[in-house]
Amino acid sequence: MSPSVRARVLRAFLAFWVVLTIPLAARAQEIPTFEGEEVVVSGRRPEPVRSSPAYVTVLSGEQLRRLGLRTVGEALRYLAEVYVRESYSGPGGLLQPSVRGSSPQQVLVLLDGVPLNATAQLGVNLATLSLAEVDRVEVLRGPYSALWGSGALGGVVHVVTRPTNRLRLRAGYGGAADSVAALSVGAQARGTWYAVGVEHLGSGGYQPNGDASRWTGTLHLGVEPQRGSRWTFQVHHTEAGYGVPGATNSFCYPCPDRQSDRRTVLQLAWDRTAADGGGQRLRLWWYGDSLDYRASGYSSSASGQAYGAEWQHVRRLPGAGVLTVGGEWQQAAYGFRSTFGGFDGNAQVGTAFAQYDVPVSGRTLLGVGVRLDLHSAYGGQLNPRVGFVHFVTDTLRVRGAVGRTFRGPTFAELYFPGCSNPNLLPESAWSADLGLEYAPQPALVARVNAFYTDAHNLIVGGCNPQNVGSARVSGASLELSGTPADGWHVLANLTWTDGVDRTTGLALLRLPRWSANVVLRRELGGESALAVLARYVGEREDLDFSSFPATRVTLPGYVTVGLRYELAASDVLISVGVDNLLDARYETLRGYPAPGRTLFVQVTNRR
Amino acid sequence: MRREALAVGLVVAGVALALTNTWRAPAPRQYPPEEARHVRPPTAEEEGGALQRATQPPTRLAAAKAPPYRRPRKHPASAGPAKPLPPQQGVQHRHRSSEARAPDPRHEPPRPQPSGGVAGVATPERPPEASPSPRALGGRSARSALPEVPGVASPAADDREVPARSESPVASLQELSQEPAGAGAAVVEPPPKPAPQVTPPKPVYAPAPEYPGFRLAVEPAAGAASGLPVRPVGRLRLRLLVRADGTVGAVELLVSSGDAELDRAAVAALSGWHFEPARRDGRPVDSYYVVWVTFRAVQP
Repeated sequence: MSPSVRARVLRAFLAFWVVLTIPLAARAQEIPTFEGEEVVVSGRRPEPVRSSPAYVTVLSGEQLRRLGLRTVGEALRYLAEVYVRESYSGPGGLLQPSVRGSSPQQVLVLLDGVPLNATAQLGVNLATLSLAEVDRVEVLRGPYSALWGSGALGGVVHVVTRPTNRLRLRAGYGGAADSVAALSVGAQARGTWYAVGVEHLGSGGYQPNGDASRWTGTLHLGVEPQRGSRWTFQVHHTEAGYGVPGATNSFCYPCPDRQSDRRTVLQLAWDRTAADGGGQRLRLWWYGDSLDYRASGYSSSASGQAYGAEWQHVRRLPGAGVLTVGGEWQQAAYGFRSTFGGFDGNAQVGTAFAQYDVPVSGRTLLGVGVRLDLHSAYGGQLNPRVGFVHFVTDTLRVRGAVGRTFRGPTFAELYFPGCSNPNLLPESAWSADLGLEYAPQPALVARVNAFYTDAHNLIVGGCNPQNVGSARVSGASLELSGTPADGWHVLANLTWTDGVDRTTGLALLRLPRWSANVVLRRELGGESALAVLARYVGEREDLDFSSFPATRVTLPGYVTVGLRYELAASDVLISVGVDNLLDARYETLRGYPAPGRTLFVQVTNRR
Repeated sequence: MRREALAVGLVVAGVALALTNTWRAPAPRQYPPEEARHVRPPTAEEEGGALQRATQPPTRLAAAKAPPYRRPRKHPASAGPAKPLPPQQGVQHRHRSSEARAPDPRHEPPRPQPSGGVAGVATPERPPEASPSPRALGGRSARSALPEVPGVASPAADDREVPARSESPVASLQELSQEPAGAGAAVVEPPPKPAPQVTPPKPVYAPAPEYPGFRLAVEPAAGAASGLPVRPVGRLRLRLLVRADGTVGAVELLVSSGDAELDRAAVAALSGWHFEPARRDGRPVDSYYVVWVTFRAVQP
């Protein structure tokens, strides 16, 4: 390097150094600085209207009881996208839910988180679930196998009980000697609590041999050794005896058949809730149930028991997401004996599931879930689900979900001698829904919702059953629920459902194309209130078994109207009601006429 | 060879010094108005964690040293443009570290600020100072390649800015050179200069920032978690370079609200403000306008 080049390089470096190190502050020093007055920008705080990526309805047990309703089945009659198939009525009736056109077997029923479908062969009878001590009934429509596993093909009905902390008395009497008598007592002190309740539902029957008597008992024990951490022990027992008059078009009507059922659910749970909403839960449960049937020349006895363990962990993650992971294990056994023979079956299921809910933007919540069930009889089932809710504004939301669901075959379908198939696979379906929710005020929601279910591998009856069925169900609903004004409560909905059995091309049986409900309650001051309950069920296809082979018939639609008047008088609340005010004559199913106009009165203590 | 070695040494020293200044004592980002809507506020990592600390509520210790911040009684968003420092409010020529140590700043006589010092500006909350004329302070760090953040001697600023900024090596050097630790230490100060007559800039067109929409909070639940719409709330601090022609030449985010959307909304709105410019001896001059912006949600 020549000296001149070196000098140039040196000058360049020196210049570079000067540029880097000499401050540019000469001019800036002359720029004065002033403090401005604070700018305050006020915005309207959004009303606490929340929404999940699912169409969920929560019914208050207290409100249902005040309407004079006695069982969970009676309460679900008034919901959108839910149809309760009824044969007989009252506590000895058979009330089975159909959600979005599903069969009753495809609706999962949980009692305080315990799945009652584990041994139910024809779906859970909601008439066996009285509203005694029920805090709320949650109805989740759509594909929920990603969270709950088998059975949640149409939806989930979750019945949650709650211990009372005072003495509660309820008594009622009505047409056809329908009666209700309930007593419960509970207390809470220094982090411990207990509650005991007993209830009797009775009916003289609306038809010959339609009498029924059902007892339900509940026990809650709990202790909270430290804040947020609780141990609870629950017992729920019900048993009933009732006549089964049969269909009016059967050869023996009124049949002298008698039936009795019994179910006991035990549960020990520990849960810990963190301040941020996360937490853990561990649950051990056991239940046993039985159903005995006695007819002239025939009797049968079915009994099942199941037990299981469930662990769930909910955790808030950085980024405002919530992760739920858990596992379940259950064992179920079922035995059936009848005049003509019987069978036994048992199965184990192991499960792992995860659900992640996260706000993907300031306005969109995304929920992704997956659940793996490993069943000893039919192997593994992997069910994903994706849902979202997007807040267009703080009062208008779009909600949607898509997921896979399944229903495992029952023990009878797998093992019934001479009429079963041990190689059956679960029924499976892909289901999607899309809804719009508008909440003009916090306690009022208007919804429009559309759904579509595509079911495959449906188990088609006969001997032997096969996975050859296929169906699609599409539908839509409108709903308005909440408190439009002070003292007014409304639940109004309209549902259209179109279900087609692809193997026959015919409409699905026992599925009304149209249904509508209105429940309007007006508080009159104090605790007095007036309520009207109206229901419309449109035409639906059914089978008439009075001929052989059974013929397909279309049952006409019907309208029922009920009225309630609640009068608060000193320490008691007196409810007077009338059902089927118009004395409409209709059949819920072919051969099962519904009661005409009936009156009832009910008295409840207020304190 | 010796000259080359000297040159290399100088270069290394210069680069090291420059890097030290620019890397360890970063200045806030400048947002030209036309880009203000697209800027991303600096993250805590980019600011060396200073913003994160600065946005934390004041500690008990800090609160004991400084009186609690009080909001102006007026509602600037509804009452019109934000007001600059009133002329009768004196400007505190004091180093921030001494401000923090001073038991009662009202009894401390105003001292002229040496060239290159960090400036402090009194807020309306502060009692009037002895100085009768509005003397604005400006200045940049002698070793910073970018404009230095002017300190503000308001209690709120003490809470939020002093802990963050005093950690910069620039402030440490200045502390060493101007105010050695300990009360009563000998301070060598240049003789006071006569203050020029400076009038503050005055906003003449000052639309309030648009409140960004709500966002979802997730509420855990058995089954499907639900979303709860909540409005973001926060407080941020901006420095506007007000040009002599009254327009906003640049907007800097001094203290982030912790919420990028709020920061963006405030930067976007304030970069469109127009001012009657500051004047020095009657002549329009560039000036800095420092302001807190608070977003709060209220019941409808």
